[in-house]
Amino acid sequence: MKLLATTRIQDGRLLFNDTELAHGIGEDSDFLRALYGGLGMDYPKFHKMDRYARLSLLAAEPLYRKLREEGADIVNAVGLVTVNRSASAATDTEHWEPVSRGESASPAVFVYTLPNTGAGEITIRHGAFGPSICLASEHPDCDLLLTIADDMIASQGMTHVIVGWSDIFAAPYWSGPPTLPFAGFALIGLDAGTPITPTGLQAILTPH
Amino acid sequence: MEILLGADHVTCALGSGSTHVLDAMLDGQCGLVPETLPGGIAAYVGRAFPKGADQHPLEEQLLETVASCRAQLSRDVFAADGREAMRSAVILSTTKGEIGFLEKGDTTAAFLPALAERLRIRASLPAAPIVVSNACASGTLAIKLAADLIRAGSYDHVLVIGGDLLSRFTLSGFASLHALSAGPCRPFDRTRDGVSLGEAVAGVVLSNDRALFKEPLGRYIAGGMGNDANHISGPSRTGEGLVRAVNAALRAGDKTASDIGHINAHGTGSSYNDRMEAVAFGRLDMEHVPTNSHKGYFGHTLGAAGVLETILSLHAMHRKQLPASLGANDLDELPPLNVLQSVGTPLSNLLLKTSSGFGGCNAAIFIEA
Repeated sequence: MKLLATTRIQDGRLLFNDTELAHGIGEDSDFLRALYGGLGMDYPKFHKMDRYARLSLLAAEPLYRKLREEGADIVNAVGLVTVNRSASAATDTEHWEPVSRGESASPAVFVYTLPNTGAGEITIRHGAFGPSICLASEHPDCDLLLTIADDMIASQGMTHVIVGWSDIFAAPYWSGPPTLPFAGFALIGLDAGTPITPTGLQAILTPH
Repeated sequence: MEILLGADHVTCALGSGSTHVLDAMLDGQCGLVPETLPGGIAAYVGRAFPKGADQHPLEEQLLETVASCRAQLSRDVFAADGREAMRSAVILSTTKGEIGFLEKGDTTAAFLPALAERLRIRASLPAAPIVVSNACASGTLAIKLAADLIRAGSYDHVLVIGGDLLSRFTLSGFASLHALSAGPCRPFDRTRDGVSLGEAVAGVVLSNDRALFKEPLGRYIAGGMGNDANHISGPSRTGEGLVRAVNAALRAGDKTASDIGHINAHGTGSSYNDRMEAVAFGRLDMEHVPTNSHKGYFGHTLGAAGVLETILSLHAMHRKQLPASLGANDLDELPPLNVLQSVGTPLSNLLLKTSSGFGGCNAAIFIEA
């Protein structure tokens, strides 16, 4: 399997293959909106999503653009593997606050209290019907992630797999502000590219 | 490669132990009880554990499940210091884990990897369990992942455990969506009006070594996964993701619709979900296959559901007695399915288990009983 492209969102910048496509500052929501503008996206549903789904959607966007430009079969043949540490914790807290005070929950918030909503929004945005799986772990287990990606390509008929880490809360070994969002996504396939190794994937999926 | 399942354990609203729970189901017992939620909302829930008994309620239940499954094996392949430690893994399927910690104000203790790490330490496992959190498709997807990892050569033995508890967190959310039935849920019934939530833990071992089991429960054939790419919380009207998941499993397992002996559907009792499944199974030419939902017995147990219902369905197929789809008294006519209104007989020993969840995810597995 080859590494075909990467997106990283870190320190307020969105990098596609190390080229900055967008940047933003401010609180999470402002920052994510700035990246959305920077990518020139026109997708009104974006504004209804929680921060985690927005972060995931933004990180995936340049990779699906590349797939679309190259005529890949996004509908049928692109798999998706997502993983993070805090699942949907930021939105869980938002859902729980009114409930803990005895008030009604917001249905628009509650539907985002699952970690696979990031992948769900990506599949909706890009009309991707292929397989996806959502995992939670303290650190990305890149041997496991590559085994899953390889299985999707070798046994489930996928031509490409996108493997992504996105978390509104940064990993514990990250020394930055505790709520700094980070996302690292890798596009993997069989086309020309550099061979992907667990160590190589680790570097993409972790903040540094 | 032959991948076998066995050494299972379940605890749900109908009690503990697969044989005991299946006996109760075949007897037509319903484990759902009325409960008034905050805000005066009337609902039925499938309570399996005493409320507020432990500080780590899910962890304690999962540890019991792990211990019970391990005790049934001919040798303990899941010991951290054992000879096969590097060839064994545990997969945990859950949607909200120990969400009770969030309710107490401790956000990071509620993180899913924290639960996995505590399980590793307390059960002396070779590594922290791999956590699958894919909404209500988690359990079925976890079994598929376990088999995929064995087939890929990563492991020889995988213990899949699923668990979710009833919580104010989840109940308040489903109430806000007006998704809860005021009575016990009635999957595939014309008058169904929503979900009954339940809680459960369930565990089953998958292995490529037949000698591990006193008596295997089943043989894994194949699995598939597909997305609706349609709506974040509502199922597809065309059942596209489920059709794709089942078709992928059919292809991978070299099976056709006529091979299937029994379908244990997701069957939540929500209007849209059950309609979606009927459309999908119609498109797949599976209307004739004896089909049921287990959720009328113990509710929708979220991350545990796929594991729990797969285990119970395999036991039922061994007995050649499939539980009636409890609550389906007046079948919805469009599109028609062969929903079991009394105890039924499988057409063959091939089980199709499906699950669907928020985010538009769908999983399907074939297992030979």
